[in-house]
Amino acid sequence: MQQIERLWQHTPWQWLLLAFALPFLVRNLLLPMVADDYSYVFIWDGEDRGNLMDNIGPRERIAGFADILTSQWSHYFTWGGRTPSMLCIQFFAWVGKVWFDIANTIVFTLLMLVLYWLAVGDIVSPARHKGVFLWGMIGMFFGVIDYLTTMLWMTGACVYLWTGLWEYLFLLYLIKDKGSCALAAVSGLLAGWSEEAGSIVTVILSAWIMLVYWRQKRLQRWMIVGFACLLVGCGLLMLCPGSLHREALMLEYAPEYILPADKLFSAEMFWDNFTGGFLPILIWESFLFIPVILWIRKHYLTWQSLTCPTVIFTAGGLLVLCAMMFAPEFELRTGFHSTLFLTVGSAAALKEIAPWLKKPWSLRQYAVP
Amino acid sequence: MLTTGCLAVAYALFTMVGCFVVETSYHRQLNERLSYARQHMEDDSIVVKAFYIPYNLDRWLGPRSLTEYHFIYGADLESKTTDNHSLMYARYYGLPPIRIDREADWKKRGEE
Repeated sequence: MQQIERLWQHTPWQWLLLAFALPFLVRNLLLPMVADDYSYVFIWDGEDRGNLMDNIGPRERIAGFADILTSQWSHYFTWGGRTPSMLCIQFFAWVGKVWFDIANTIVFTLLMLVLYWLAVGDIVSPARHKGVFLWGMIGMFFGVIDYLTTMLWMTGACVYLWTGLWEYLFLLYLIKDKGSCALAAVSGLLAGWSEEAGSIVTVILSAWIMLVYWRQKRLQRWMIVGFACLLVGCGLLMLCPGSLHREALMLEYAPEYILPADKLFSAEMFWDNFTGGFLPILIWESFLFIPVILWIRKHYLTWQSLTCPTVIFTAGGLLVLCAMMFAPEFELRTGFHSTLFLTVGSAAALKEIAPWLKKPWSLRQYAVP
Repeated sequence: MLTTGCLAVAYALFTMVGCFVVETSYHRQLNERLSYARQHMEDDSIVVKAFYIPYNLDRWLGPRSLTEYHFIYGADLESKTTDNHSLMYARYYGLPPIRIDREADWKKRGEE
């Protein structure tokens, strides 16, 4: 045990990060373009049913940034509202997969650091709470139920992993004491214009944090600007005209692949979502609740605890699952942001209970059944 | 506690190694497929073998790496040359119409 402890003490946090980032890079390099990646190499043709349906006509390859903008303009009005992540996908589909592999690894590395900073509530070196840093990385590796789709596949990573980082960055920016309106605006817009469930929960968590600040008389103008832009981004995402156009296309050409309108919000839909999405994801990431449960046993839930990162982000993780219950379809990959927020809550809880965990068993204040 | 920790580390290592085995195999199968397809550029259409998971590792790893679900979702081509993934793959590489040698389709909604 002493040898293990000595090894742990002398292991730099950079090696821990490398132990996760290097395999991540290799896995990125092993996975070539697949599925929708090929469709996004071409300019989106909204007048001919887009690029993702069967039996479509020829398409023109993207040859420059102007083509990407043209493509995304068509995409927004005829298919969906995830424009920032789609811009990234089409950019990397144009410049080449290897550049995406490098960029994706950088995003992954940043995500792990920001996860840690959110959990400890400050931008400090991971050396200060190495165990929390490691737990965050373990949590994301084992807690994300569809790792390949949401973190390695180019289209999926831009939609889930990258948007997760934007949401994290906005929340991290929000908890700082000083900020600028410009940065808050850009950060808020990106965080809102991200992925549906993650965007909605980021709005809820931001509102929650700002309410706490307002009660503590710490609310500042740049926070309000950032939140307003977050709402604008969320609106651009959720209210895009392309969603309705896409639904009409699916009803006309592939009705068997979407939920019939009369079954929307039916008991059958909720049951399918619960058994096919909510429950499997909750079970898969349930180990992340262990530090949270221990934290609750030690601190008890009070009104004051509603200001703690543990409670805020754990609630965020559960809120994502609840939000997806109302979607026509609850795919496993859409639980990514649930794990994203829950891991922060879990790591934050671990930071709080770590001094207690280090005590000999006989000296702990209470017995865990 | 120590036993639990050791089991957790063993599982973590198994998972990491398992993911590499699956994805290395997938990478090799993809290259073999493209090579085969390029040898049949003059054919009217190309039929290729569907991908497989080595040693049925998907049963142990679940969706942490590739599974049959991922193959159906898009990690493999489709059973018709005009279905989107087969169509765009052929256009990207300048190939004749291409499909896999088995039936595979999405879960359809509304079916009994």
